[in-house]
Amino acid sequence: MPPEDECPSWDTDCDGISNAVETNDANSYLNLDPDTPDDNPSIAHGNPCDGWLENALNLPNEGTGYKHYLGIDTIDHDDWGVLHLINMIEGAGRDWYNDIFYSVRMGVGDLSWGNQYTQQFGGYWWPHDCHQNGLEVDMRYVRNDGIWGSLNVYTQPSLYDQDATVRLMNFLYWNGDVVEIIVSRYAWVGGEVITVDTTTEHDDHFHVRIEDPDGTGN
Amino acid sequence: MRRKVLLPLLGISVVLILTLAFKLLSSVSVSALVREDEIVLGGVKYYHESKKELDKRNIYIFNKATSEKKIIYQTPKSYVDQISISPNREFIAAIETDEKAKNNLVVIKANGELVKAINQDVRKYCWSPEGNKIAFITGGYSEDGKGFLSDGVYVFDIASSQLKQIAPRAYYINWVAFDSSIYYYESKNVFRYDPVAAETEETPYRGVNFSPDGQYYTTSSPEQPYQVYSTKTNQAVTDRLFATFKDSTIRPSWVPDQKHQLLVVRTDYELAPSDSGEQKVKKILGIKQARYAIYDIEEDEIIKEWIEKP
Repeated sequence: MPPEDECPSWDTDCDGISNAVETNDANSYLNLDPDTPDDNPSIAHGNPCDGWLENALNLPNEGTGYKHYLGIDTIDHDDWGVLHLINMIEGAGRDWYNDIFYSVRMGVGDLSWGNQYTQQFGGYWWPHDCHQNGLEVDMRYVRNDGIWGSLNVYTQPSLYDQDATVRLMNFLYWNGDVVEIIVSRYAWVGGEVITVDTTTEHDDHFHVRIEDPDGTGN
Repeated sequence: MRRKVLLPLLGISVVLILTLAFKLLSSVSVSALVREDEIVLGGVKYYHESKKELDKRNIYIFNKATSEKKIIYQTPKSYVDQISISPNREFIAAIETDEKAKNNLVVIKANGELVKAINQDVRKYCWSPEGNKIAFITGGYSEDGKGFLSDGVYVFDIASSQLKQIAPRAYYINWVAFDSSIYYYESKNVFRYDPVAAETEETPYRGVNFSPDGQYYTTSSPEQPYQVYSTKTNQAVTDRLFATFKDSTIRPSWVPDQKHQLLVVRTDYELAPSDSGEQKVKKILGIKQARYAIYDIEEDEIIKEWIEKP
């Protein structure tokens, strides 16, 4: 472990779990301590389309460079994931905030379902087919008008900032083990990890999936 | 400047996708990659030229012999999308949309005469095997980034103009010929609706994209791993398929009249160079080529491949 003075400001005990996550009320059931290194408690079981989540971590509702949107969900029920997913979002947010393309915080949507009081996390969650074991997150495309809000790249192409969205997707990739990003055909982005969805499902968000950090055998 | 690059590209994406549809829908072979969205009806091509923003409002009739084109329908909204012809080749359907208003499903005759405009925020539709009815899914993007939320499934009878709701919601729909039923996907379940008896039953299936004879089906959701299942056993046919189709640009679709063959399309894009670091995601600058393949389920291999360039 590096000396304490080399720990980043957002993770002062250098345990790989940010202070924001460790002090997030929704994560209090895990008794995380920002001053003492904690082990990663989260485990993804099964697969993203048929699985569940153990000791999930809740994404703080906002942080550097990002803000979570609720939609029809209630607070702290739609934003649970494994540590690697949370770290990817927070890390990308920090990079995004310091980037020349930054104009507005990235919009973070659904991760996996969860309830800290019953400590039940993941599983099927309407209307998602997947999002079941804390390895996936929905994100908004970046608007070019500086407004923090939704964007449909098919019906609102004049508001779509393609360069900034590409930049944002790369920040996500650099901060996590991204295996797939599902995008609308109208997003006009490509690359090894990109899957183009030709239905209307992903016209107003893109879907990011990371590798299961503890493997797929559990 | 970004807009100038982006807009012409928007049309090309539709082109590639619909080129696939043309091959399936039309008995007329398309020898070269076309740049317009086109369909063939009674030997006449219909298409909607979406390369130009203004032309995205139009459906054209195209005279192949003279290369003349004529607008047969112009939407009052911003775009026309999901154009298809009825199996009996009497009608054309399309979804017209704009930024704020609800989507219309329009049914027009071959001469462009409007038969019906259904203003119910229609997102997806499919024809009955006879081509005299149309089933569709309604809904919207009410959650600002959660994706599509369905709020109804309907059947429209063109002759009687009757509209009937058959289910509260669905995300994928298919009206199949092999048993004349409507299959729809909702909440991880596939339901079968019998339009004659007006009865619905739950099925054990995981998707609604059935082979023409109903012996196989594929997963529907783009978020689920692509797989082909036997309807008899409800088991995956082979793991090789997933590896084969992993780089498929769009979900493979069944080849009509060829019972157990899938058409796979892979699009090779011209991507923007990296401006910093190792960029895994890049802007698409254009399309290099489309690689087509026919995959035979029983043979468990690709039996035909070809390339088309723009």
